[in-house]
Amino acid sequence: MTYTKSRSPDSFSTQRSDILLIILIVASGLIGSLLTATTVNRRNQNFLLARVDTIATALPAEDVAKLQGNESDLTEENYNKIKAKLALIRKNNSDIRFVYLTSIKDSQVYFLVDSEDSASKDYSPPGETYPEASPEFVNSFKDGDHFVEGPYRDRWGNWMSAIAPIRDPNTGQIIAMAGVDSSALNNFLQVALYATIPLLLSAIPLVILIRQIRIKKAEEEIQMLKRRFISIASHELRSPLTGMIWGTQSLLGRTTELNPASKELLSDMSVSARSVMSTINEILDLSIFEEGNPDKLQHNQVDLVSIITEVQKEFKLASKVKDIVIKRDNSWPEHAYVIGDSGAIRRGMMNIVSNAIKYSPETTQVTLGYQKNGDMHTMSVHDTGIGIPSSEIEKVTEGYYRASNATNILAHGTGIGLWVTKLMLEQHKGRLVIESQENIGTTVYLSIPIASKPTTA
Amino acid sequence: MDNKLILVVEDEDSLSTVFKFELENAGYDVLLEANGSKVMDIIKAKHPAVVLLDIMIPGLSGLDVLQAVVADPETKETKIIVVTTLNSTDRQQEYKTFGAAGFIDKVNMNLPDILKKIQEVMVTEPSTDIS
Repeated sequence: MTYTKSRSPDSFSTQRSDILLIILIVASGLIGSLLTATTVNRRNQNFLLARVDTIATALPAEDVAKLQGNESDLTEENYNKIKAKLALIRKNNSDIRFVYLTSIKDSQVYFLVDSEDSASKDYSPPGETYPEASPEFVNSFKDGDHFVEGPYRDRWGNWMSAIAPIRDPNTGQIIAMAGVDSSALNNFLQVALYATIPLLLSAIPLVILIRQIRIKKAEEEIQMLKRRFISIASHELRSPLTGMIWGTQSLLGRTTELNPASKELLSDMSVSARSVMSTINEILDLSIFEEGNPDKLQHNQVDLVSIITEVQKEFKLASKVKDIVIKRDNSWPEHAYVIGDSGAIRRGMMNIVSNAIKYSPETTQVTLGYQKNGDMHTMSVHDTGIGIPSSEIEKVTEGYYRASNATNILAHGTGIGLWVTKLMLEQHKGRLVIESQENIGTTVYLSIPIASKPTTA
Repeated sequence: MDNKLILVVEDEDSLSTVFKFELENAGYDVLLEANGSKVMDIIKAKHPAVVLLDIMIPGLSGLDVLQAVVADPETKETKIIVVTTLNSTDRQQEYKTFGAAGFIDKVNMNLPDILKKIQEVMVTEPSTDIS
């Protein structure tokens, strides 16, 4: 027994577009992150630069010019004035760690003034050399451009620094370079923090998308399992059941071998087996119709008149048990063509007629009628049975529903027969209409559009 | 060609037993086979007039057997009736184009219908298009 695994051709293309979407979302998150990081970093650098520029212009140049760059500065007023200013700036700018003035001699950068307190271990006295100075720093003394550098490492830690020139107002010569140091780590953390925001934001559509993909995959799985079940059930259930039905039919034909009691038992078995077959067909029909898959339905020219004839024949035996007559009234034309699936239409009719017989008292009549309703052929099945309470007429076609008065007649029933029949008719672009009065009777109208032109039979 | 011989290819026991009983009752000789891969050999050896062929059987697929029988000049006189649970008329057309002489629908047909169908096929020439 081979079971074929069916795979809808859509599933591949949706996978590709989903992957593309995921890549797009992640890429935008990363790009946003990168842009934010560079923007925040540049902002911080510019802020640092702005402050060092302010310092450079605010310091009185003549005081700076007087600095000698050795320990004799320590007792000088101009030195202490400048140092106090630098210390104040440092105090007022919490992100700045060091503020200082530097000069250069023989290409060696050295400190002129340091904002740091002389007792501190990080203090640089005037004249202390700074061999870690970058080439850019060294050259700035020549070309006088302010700049930002970092992150870089020196003996005091990792820094981002802004350097700006102080010029002699008369000669325009560079007399010192002012500098501010800010912790590189703090800058990095701040940039990183801002950078995560676009990533987090992009995570939201990503999570939603992934969830949707999962749901879609689960649904596809269910559909596939359903289709597989249908193809298995179609054969595995029906074949042995047919064996039983035909087997009992065959035995019932061997009249000489059986006594009446045995015949009756076989008859009951046959009815049971047929009932199971009919339920299986109902369920399988339901699966086909529910999926809304009109390709499963045949589109052939079908003569409703031949179907109604078959249905009448089918129920001849069953109706005899209750002495019910199934009569076709004389409203029927010779032919009534529609386009559809003859098997499905027949099963639908059989379901309605079967209900009519089931819920009718003995020795009554079930009438099969016909009317042309605009562009539709309408078949009707009329009985004088228990009827359906008016409040329940809608519900009986909705599925898994049995009317409250039905269980008195028949304890078991799937409750899906009318639902399947209704779906089947709708799939054929027709409709099902029920008229009923409790304890008086029911008429069920099955309508299917008239086939526009009879094709060759 | 043995005009009274019918080969029933069916893996469902209850069905093959019923076929055998009813067909023997109707006067035919019946051979049963459950495996598709043996069918060609049996047809070549016994030359049945009709083969009832279940489409879904173990061994070779029913469709392959149908095509093989029709294609082989030694066996093409044997008429094949396809037996299936699929009641689609599209499929019926397909089987007819492959050379099936008839079609039995397990779901909708009863025993008397089947016997009638077999008799119909028996008396008709292989090339005629029957429903």
